[in-house]
Amino acid sequence: MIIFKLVWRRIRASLGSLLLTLIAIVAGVGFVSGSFILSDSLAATFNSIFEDAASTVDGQVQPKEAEFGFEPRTIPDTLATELQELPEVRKATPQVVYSNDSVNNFIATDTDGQEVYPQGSEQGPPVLTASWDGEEGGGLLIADGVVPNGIDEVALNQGYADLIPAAVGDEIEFVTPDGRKTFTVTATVELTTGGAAFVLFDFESAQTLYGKEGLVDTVSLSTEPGTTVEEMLAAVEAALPEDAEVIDQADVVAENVADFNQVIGIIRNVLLGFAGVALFVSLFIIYNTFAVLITQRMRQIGMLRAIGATRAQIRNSIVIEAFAVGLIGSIIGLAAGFLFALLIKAGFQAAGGFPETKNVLLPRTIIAAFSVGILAAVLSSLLPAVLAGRVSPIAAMRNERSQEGVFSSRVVAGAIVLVLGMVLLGLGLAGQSTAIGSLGETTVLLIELGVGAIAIFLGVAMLSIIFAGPLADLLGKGGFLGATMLGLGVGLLLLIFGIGDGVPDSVLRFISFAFKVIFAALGIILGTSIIVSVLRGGKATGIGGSAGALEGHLARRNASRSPQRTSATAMALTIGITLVTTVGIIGQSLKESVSGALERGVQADLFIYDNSFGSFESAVTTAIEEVDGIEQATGIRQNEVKIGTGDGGVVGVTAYDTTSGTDLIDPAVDQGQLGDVAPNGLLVSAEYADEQGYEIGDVVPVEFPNGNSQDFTVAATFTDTAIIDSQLAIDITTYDDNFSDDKDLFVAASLAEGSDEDRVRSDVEAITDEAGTFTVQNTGEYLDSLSGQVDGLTSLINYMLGFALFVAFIGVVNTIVLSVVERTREIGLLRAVGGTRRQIRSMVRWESVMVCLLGALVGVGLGVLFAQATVAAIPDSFIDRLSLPWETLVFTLLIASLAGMVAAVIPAFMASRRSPLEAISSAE
Amino acid sequence: MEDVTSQRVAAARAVGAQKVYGAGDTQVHALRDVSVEFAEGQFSSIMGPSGSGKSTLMQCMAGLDRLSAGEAFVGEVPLSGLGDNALTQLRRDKIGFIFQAFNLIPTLSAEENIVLPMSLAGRKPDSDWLTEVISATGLGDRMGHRPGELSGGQQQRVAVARALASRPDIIFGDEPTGNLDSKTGSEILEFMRKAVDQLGQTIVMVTHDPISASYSDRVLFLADGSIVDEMADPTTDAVFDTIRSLGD
Ligand SMILES: Nc1ncnc2c1ncn2[C@@H]1O[C@H](COP(=O)(O)OP(=O)(O)OP(=O)(O)O)[C@@H](O)[C@H]1O
Ligand SMILES: [Mg+2]
Repeated sequence: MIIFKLVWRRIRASLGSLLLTLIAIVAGVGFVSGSFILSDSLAATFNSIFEDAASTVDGQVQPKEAEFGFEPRTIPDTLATELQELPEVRKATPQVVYSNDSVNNFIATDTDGQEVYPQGSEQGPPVLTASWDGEEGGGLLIADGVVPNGIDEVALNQGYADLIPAAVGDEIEFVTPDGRKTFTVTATVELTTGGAAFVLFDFESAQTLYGKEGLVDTVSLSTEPGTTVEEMLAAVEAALPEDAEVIDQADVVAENVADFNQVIGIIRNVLLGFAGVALFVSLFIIYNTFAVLITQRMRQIGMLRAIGATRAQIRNSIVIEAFAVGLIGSIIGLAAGFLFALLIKAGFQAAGGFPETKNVLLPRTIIAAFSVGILAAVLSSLLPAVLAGRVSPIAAMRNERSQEGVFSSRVVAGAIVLVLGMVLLGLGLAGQSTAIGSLGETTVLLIELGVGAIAIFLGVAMLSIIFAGPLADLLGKGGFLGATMLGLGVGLLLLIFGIGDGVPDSVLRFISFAFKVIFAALGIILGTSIIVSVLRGGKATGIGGSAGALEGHLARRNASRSPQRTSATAMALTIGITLVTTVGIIGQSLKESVSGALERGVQADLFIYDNSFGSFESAVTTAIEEVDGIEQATGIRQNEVKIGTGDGGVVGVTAYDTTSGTDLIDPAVDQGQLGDVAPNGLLVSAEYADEQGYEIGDVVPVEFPNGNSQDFTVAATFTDTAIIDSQLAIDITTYDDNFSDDKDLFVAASLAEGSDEDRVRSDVEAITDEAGTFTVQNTGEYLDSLSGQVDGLTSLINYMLGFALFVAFIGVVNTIVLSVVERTREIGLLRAVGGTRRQIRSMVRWESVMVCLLGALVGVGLGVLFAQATVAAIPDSFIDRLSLPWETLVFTLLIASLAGMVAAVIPAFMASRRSPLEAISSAE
Repeated sequence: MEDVTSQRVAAARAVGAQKVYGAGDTQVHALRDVSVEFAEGQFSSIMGPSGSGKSTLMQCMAGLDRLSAGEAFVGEVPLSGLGDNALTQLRRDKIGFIFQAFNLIPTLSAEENIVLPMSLAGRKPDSDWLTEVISATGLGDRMGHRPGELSGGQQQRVAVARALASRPDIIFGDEPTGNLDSKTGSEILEFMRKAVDQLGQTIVMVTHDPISASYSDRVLFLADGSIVDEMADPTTDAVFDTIRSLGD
């Protein structure tokens, strides 16, 4: 019991030091539990929404899923009438949806003729459209007016009506797939299902407007009183044609929910991934805190040992303390997670179109929060706890801190872990893996890569106690940047231009990679040590030196005096910087690969696509082709077909106008003639042809989603898989003959010689403005927009990683605070002998900057390494080059120094408040 | 030299004790073949110049450190045969400590500090004995205070009380009054003297101060790792003379 008392008193006494540790745990746990709460809440909300929507429905008739391909399937609307006549069916309600992507197809315009989007831009929540049988219920209530009934009538949800603004009886112009049309608003409705903007038509008008005359997408069913649902479903089943099926209410809900659950699952996993990073960072901070706290309590521990506390008691007291901190951190973290979830949901809601959500706290979330928080705290306290148990009782009398044994064993362990990590990462990169037990090959591969990277990181972190001290010292002396730049430069040159890049064999590639890593490391060490020796002889200048003789010198000594602490703090920051650097480099490489790879194959001058990246009527393409000044234009489509021989299976197929030659798209034909592809030839990727053993002239039976089969001749092979990213391509007329949808994803057009691009463009835009919301770009703009998408992705990831960096930043504050607390006497003494407050503050500040820069430098180095590894592992068709965002890297270092300054503000203030008296009176 | 130990049972003793720190050029012989006995119910002092090995001898006999050669006994238990846990238990149950400073856990109250060894052992302190010890400190009304709220002398009295509270076979003190002024120091020493006379406690104390030494029954003189002299029933002047003669 005394242990608990000791622990509790200690926690209360060192609350300040533990507070920041607590924040680290809270951040990690908050992220984990927040991810769960948010995703569970979303899932539960959507579940109940769909249950609600399906509450009046006992079943639903729908077309059977195609085995492959992306063709929208429909059933004739006569079926609804037939079903209505069955005695078991009370009501059979037909519905149509606009295409597969019912997004932003019917958009209201304001009095100026501008499209009205919920957030003012098409990037915001979409404008949705649906058919409505006029009945209330299932989450829909009429707010005002009467049900639309006619081709020029429409109902809007209240929110969208307010936004336009439109009231019942108003005539509003809409941008529709068939150009601009005016509708009369006959009703506004309230939707409990959420959604920012809904445009509703009566069923028959919807059929016409959606281009689905005589067709329905689904028929929902209710049961005649006196009949059971099962009987009704059975009766409907018997009446259905072969290509339609009936599902019950539970399945209706499940099908609707499934898509959402998948999205929610992805959101959850991404959030959890970032939570993992934040936790990993927290581990370092907690470890650091306990290590420092124990050094501070050395005398106390020694005294306790002298008067009879066993090793186990000392060890346990530390672990219990960690447990308690973990427990408190978990409780607060859980609350923080709740807030986090609320905040994000509030964000969603503010963005519009988001239903009221419940807050779901599953037992799983609570268990996860507590185990994560407590485990993180206890795990990271284990090593310090064991070390504390080993403190010799004599340390009570002598204030000695010999940890040489630990030092060397840590270096050895670090080296082992590092090598292990490199082997694992190397195996992963080389694609060497076997299924182990129930784990599949890919899982093992991912584990190899992930564990390998983490092990390399830990190895470097453990080894960093060797270099953290000298490097921090050197950094203070200045010239460190030069040293590292030299070393990194040598290392990078080796990495980038190293021999063996073209080696096809994966094992050889790994070996050459390992060599490069070793050479890079040697380069870094060599560069550093050269500068060290130069500096040893020379005069000290640089950060520490320029900060003024006394404080610069002291700061440098402080940072290099306890390498363990300096390295642990720096490493917490390093994790974040490593990830940011890795993502940055991969993003940059991806960007350059994407636009670079397309540059060659893209020959067209203009690119036109729907803003939602959905498909559109090919009439738009035809119209563009006829614009004066357009030489050629082709629609581009994608779908799936089934190869009738060998192990071909289902493969993706691209269709475009192959008769246009290479003027629009140049797929880099390897063998055969592009001109032979139309009408019944196949353009096959060289890789796939190789794999399947196809020769030019081979006959390949191809099956289409509608069941048709046709023999094709292999006409040509192509190598540019960036421009055509499927294994097969066919001519667009062949596509038309075999697929029922007549829609394009993309239009590529070339300008006639001597025509005025601006004029042609405005003519094309006139067409697309009529047809809906399109983007028209020239080649440069198009390639830039592709890079822009990558930018968006990387900035999203960086945004999340920023959180990990924030946790790391807390870690730096933490360490500096601890080091100030630890040096209470020393600082008091400095004050006593005449150090000014300013001098004390600047001493603390420079130490902080050194630690941050150290962390950032190692982080950038590791980031470059990991990025290089990743780029090497990713197939060339995705990323085929390594590109370093220099500005970002330099910027990172600058930010790190700045963060060091900011992190030191509070500790520096604390330190400068120390009175000289405390030097004498502080007993512990 | 009169033999004052032979009639009594030894609470602790060392036989041929040697302690070497470091190796090679930096080797230090802190103890060179020291044999000594501390009898039950006796108050002994160890004196000698700085660096003579006083603390080393005390630490090795108290099971805080290990000898390089020779053997130390507490009662009849040889310490070299004990593992860390057994040694810890021995310290907890049979030995009391008073250090020069940093004796108390700052987060525990005076009383909690006094019963700390028993708490660590998971034992209940003998409450009659505890009352007696606490009343002997003269700090009865300050028992709920934290060390930070007590003066240096008061803290040291709490430390002596803690050493006494578990009724150890022997108490070791390394310059227990070294940090105190002479008046406060003599209070502590009287307190320790009382423990020996009235409670039959065995105490061994390292000191630099002849006046302090005069409170004890016997003084051992250490120089350069060996016992060079010994004195029974010391007076301040006699101790002073011996130190002077050793210094020559
Ligand atoms: N851990 C150690 N490592 C190396 N040498 C040591 C160590 N501890 C003590 N010594 C050396 O052993 C010798 C005896 O030290 P000890 O502390 O026993 O002296 P002391 O008599 O207690 O001195 P003082 O009166 O100054 O406390 C000294 O020379 C000292 O330098
Ligand atoms: Mg000493």
